Amino acid sequence: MPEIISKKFQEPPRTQMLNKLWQFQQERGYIDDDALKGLATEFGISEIEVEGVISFYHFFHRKPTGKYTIYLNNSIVSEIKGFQRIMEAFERETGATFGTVDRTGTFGLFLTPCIGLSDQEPAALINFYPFTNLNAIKVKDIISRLKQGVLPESICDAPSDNIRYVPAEDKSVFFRKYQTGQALGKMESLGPQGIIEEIKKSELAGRGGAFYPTWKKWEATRQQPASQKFVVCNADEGEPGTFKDRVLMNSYAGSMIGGMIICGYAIGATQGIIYLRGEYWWLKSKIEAALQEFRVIGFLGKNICDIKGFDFDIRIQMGAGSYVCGEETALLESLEGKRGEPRTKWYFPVERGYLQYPTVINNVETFCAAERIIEMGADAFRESGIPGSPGTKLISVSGDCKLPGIYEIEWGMTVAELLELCGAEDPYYIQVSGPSGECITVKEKFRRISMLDLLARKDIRCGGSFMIFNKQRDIVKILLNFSAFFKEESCGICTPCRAGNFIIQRKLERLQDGLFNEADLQELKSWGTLMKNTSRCGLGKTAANSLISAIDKFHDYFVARFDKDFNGLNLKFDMAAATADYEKYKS
Amino acid sequence: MIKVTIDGIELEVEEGTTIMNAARKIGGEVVPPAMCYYTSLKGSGGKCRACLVKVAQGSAKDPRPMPKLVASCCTNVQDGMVVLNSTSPEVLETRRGIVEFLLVNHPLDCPICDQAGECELQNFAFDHGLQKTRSEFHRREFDPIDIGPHIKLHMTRCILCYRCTMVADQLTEERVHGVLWRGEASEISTYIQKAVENDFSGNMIDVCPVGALTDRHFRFRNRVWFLNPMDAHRNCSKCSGKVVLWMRGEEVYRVTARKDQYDEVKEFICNECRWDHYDTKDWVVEGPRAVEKWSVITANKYSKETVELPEQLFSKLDNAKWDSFEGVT
Ligand SMILES: Cc1cc2nc3c(=O)[nH]c(=O)nc-3n(C[C@H](O)[C@H](O)[C@H](O)COP(=O)(O)O)c2cc1C
Ligand code: SF4
Ligand code: SF4
Ligand code: FES
Repeated sequence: MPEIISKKFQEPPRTQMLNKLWQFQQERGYIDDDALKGLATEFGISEIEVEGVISFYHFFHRKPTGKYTIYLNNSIVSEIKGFQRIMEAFERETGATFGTVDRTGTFGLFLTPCIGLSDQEPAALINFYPFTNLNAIKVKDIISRLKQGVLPESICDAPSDNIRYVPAEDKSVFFRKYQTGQALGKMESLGPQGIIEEIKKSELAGRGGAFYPTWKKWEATRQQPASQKFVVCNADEGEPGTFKDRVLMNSYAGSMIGGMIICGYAIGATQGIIYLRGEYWWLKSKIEAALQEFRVIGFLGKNICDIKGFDFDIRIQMGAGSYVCGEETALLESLEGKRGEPRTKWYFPVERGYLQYPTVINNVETFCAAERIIEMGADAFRESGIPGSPGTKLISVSGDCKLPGIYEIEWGMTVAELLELCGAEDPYYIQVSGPSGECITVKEKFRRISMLDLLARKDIRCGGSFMIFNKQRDIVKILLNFSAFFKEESCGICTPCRAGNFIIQRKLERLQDGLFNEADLQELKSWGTLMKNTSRCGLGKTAANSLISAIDKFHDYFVARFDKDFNGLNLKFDMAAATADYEKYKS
Repeated sequence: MIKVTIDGIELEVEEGTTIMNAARKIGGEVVPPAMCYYTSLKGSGGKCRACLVKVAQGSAKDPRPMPKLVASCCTNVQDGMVVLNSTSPEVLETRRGIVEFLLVNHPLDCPICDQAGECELQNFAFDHGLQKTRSEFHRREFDPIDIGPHIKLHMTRCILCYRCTMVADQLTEERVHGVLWRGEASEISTYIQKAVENDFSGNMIDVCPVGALTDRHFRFRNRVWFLNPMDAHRNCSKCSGKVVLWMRGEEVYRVTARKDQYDEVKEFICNECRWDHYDTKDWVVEGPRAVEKWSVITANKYSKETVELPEQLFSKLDNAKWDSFEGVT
């Protein structure tokens, strides 16, 4: 049996690094030299190390970012919904250009990848408050009001949930009537082992994309002898086109918190942490309020849920703009106040996770599902879905369709049905599970969406999003958008991903100009395959997925883009040019 | 003890041994190349991917599906594991790809680089690379900067192995240089260009696999292959005092730590030994250094394998590589 949990655990000071940096960023608009030096002294580390952390996260700046810091989303869905016009409107109205602050220091304009609002694009964050469904007139209005001194928080939008479809006959798992604490009441009678058995029976698998059986993670952590264990909720939702976790946290935060408490009880942890992406600052107060409500009722704190000796509390850690921090070991590094570089996989987080203690990391949807499974019972959960893939799944739908939003589908629904439900308009290229997923054509619309058959590739395993593009859309542009994203977000510590994403982007730019031939196309694919096979973490392993599947499935489309007169570049090595810098370097 | 087979050679190693270290026990062609792993630096490895090998068969304990490419420097052997390195065409093919990736942002100008001749990347590319580059894109450039009176950092050549930051962390008092930014924009930098000054900082130069960190007192003064490496030692209160003197005639051009056949320093030396004693009178000279690893330096120098070497060299030159040779040296 696991040892008794130590009750007075103090997280080391360095874990406060990101919070401190956020404080400076928000109070002063940037992190100045004094702040940086102060932090180095406070944490007993060198200044360059603090600088290294700051420069890793794109929401932290070393130069002023303006009284109003505006982040406009440049994801592909934004692009097809009018990004270019909005970008121009912002520049016109503020007098700043993107990447800079205007001369008066009032407006700072920046670009950022998907902010989790793909169902209401174009969208932007102003001082991290959301502004959705932008058009040129709206931008003009917002900026003029800000100039008058109106606070962004008083005019921002409240993003709607857009829950478009819920399965009939009370089969909904996530959106059924929610009553705080219903599931928690069942914990004690089930006991830790009973909970894990129930989750096992439900066949719940991780909803963060890897589909690892949830019970196995919990069981493995439970078995670890350790003085301290942690429950971490991955609310980094960085995959472009995905916004299901946003909706869950916006309207069902209690369910996520409940799931974490249940997990904490099952594995014997006393501390939970929600790693919330910086893009979701506007959700923080909501979650904070839910946590407070739980504390008041006695669902968080000491001896909670009327279980003697069960102490558990949860805090929120804000991320600061880094997709790779959604990768579980990078997330742990980030929680520890470091650069978000994925760890070398000597251990699984369930063995040595946060601060080297056994840690369960699950996605928001996974915790919500776990809570509902305990509430309704695994048998009821298994009523929906198909054999081998029971239950329901949240899918974020965006792009060229009438009804973008959240669809709670039963596993086993076909692509055709989903396209029908969302009113897809002349779908041609469909991106499943985000840029790191795969693309499919309309010919594949009779494939089922499930967790099954990964190898036979009959069904489609969907991590959480469908981005739909019609025939008018430029596929090369879509892929370029993805590759630019991966290049920006690669942490850069391993060679294939650092160099691979760079080269893929360059090649695609050439393809866009038509300066490409069949050999180039095959070469592009080989770079992608190599990156996939050799990268250190999931980012590099999946970054070329859509590219590779697109080259296979839309081959004719690419061929049609070739410039007929192009017959290869002259790539002779220019020794004179290469050695011209000798005198310069010699110094 | 557990059993592992690498390239058909069976051996027994202690549990907790990495594939890399198991292979080094066998030696020769079986040993995967390493561009970031460094035995004496804690936490090194896992980054360059040069050391990828194929695990053809795992063990009953590991449920992960095989075969699989893994980084040999940071994967432990398991009982019954079957590993393929130089006998797997797939591994060799992949390694060629890693060379290409490393060179995507590394200039192809060895003729004007001071590291040439003792560069791990040059050797790696020569052993495993293609003769042509498929990357016609602009490579990033930085101006060389001085970090202190002794060391020059030229980021253009850096392959981001992180070894130097580990030296700084693990051997010196306080780290004043480190990694900034991320992804393709990552760079080794100093905080407001502060000098790197403490007793062991010079080791950064020795661990750097490429010409990104060089000795300011030696840079561009002589080609390494014109120098004779001599083992020497002195009584030093700070370090072992065991060094290599790089000489031409009577003159000591530079002093470095001793590297083994894997280009690794086992005993780091202090800055005093490195930079304050250029006079042979300060040293007990032991004799010519037996350079164990094949490289340009060994071509006309002392080697443990003096008999085999010319042949090895010959085979390298004979394989028609040179016919289409373009740039990658
Ligand atoms: C580059 C990368 C980004 C990821 N981003 C997320 C994310 O934003 N949210 C998430 O839940 N999981 C993300 N994951 C998956 C996590 O590593 C991890 O598998 C997941 O949090 C485990 O939870 P689950 O078992 O509930 O799915 C990401 C993985 C990679 C490789
Ligand atoms: S694949 Fe490599 S460079 Fe890319 S994010 Fe992962 S560890 Fe970083
Ligand atoms: S400077 Fe040299 S040692 Fe440091 S990371 Fe770059 S290549 Fe490695
Ligand atoms: S030596 Fe193993 S990854 Fe670099």
